[in-house]
Amino acid sequence: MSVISKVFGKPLVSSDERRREADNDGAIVQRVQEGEVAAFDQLVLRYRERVYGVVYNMTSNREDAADLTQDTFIKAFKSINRFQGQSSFFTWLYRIAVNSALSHLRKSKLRTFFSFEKINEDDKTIEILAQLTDKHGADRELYVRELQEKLNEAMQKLSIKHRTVVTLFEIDGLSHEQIAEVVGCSVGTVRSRLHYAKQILQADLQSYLNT
Amino acid sequence: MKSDNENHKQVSLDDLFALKRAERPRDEFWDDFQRQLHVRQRAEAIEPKRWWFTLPRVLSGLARYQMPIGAAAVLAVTFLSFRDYSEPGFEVIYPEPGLEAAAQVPVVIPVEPSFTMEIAAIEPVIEPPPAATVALPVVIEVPAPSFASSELAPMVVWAGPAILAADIAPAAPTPSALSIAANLAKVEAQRLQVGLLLGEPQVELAALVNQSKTLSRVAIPQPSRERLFVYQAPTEDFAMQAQRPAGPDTHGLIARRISQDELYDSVSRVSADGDRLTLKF
Repeated sequence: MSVISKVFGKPLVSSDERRREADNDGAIVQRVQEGEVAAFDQLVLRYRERVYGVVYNMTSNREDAADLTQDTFIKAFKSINRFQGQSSFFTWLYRIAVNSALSHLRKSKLRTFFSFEKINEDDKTIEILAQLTDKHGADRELYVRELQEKLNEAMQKLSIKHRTVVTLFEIDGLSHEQIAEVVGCSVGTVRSRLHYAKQILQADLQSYLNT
Repeated sequence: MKSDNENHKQVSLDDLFALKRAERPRDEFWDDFQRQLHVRQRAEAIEPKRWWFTLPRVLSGLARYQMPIGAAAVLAVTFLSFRDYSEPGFEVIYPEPGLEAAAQVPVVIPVEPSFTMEIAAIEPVIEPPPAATVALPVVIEVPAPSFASSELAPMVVWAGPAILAADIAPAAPTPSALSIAANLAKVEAQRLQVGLLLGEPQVELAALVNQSKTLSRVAIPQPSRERLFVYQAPTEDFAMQAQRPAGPDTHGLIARRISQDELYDSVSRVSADGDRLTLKF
């Protein structure tokens, strides 16, 4: 993902970039299908962070996210011969990842443990944190930790379906059409779920946001 | 929290999502991840597939034939159900003439939990009927109950396949009818003697018997009662009568009408009193 726009604070990938990625994916998938197993590593390197991000933001548990990301790539590797190329490889891979995460969440509905990744403080996050607090040192660390917990709690309050849509749209930057293809519902449903989820999050994180 | 930051510009929901996006694992994590993934890939490659793993694929291939497969399954279930229903739970092998040795195998009939009957094949008391209407002579040996007043003789039950109405001989007098008739004749003779001595008017005893419903029923048993006959051990006189070569075999014909299933299903109560054992059907 080379083209990242910071205008709206979320990664945006141009359609040309997507098309180029898809063509390249198709060539690699074909090589894997012909028996070149090592070529699959290129696909893993390309998509592992995005797959991990989707699963992590759905589960809010980094250990589960690591396992589910591996499961996703193993499943994709085992069934890559059945991939017909009717959709793009990354949509197909996302669908596997989302289904694995949904299955995991349904199975472990009653036992939810949070374990968070550390926030990587790049320019954007430093700017946002500066707007939120003027604390420094250990106090700032504590504040960031608390904010992280609040964010994840707010995400976990959403239903699985709404959380999936928010994760794919707001965090991973997929379009409504791509989300509809991954989740298996209409674009209208995606928009509706997104609107509702954002309302819930807005209400829940009221103390941190401009009203 | 808000009070701590009142002097600061607050952020939007998109900014918070950007923070969420910044939650990423370190680079060392990905080295470990790649190594574990390779290990799992190799393990998956050499692990033999279980046979049931292929079931979903096979079943999905059969999805287009779901209508004929479903119909065939329904037919199969229906056929098996009717077949099971029609099969008797208690099956008796009727011996062919000349296969008496095979008939010596004892058969145990499952009955009510409080009562167990053991059936052992014995020599037929009467001569066997023609081959078309062969009946299995069996003896139901009932263990003697706790009362020791008398030893119960084995009860003989004639059980055999239902025979056609055409095979049944015309109604013949039953042993009880014969006994009653003999007793009536004796009473009649004695009464006549006493009446002559006393000078009483002569009354036809047979007419009185006919007027009595109970006696008439006993004297001429109804067909519905005939089939429920259970005989006690034959006395010497009765055995002599049974061994008469001439005449229809009434006892065998009547007892044969109790099919094995009816016997099993209808024995409901057993009671013993003195030298008498009663089976209620």
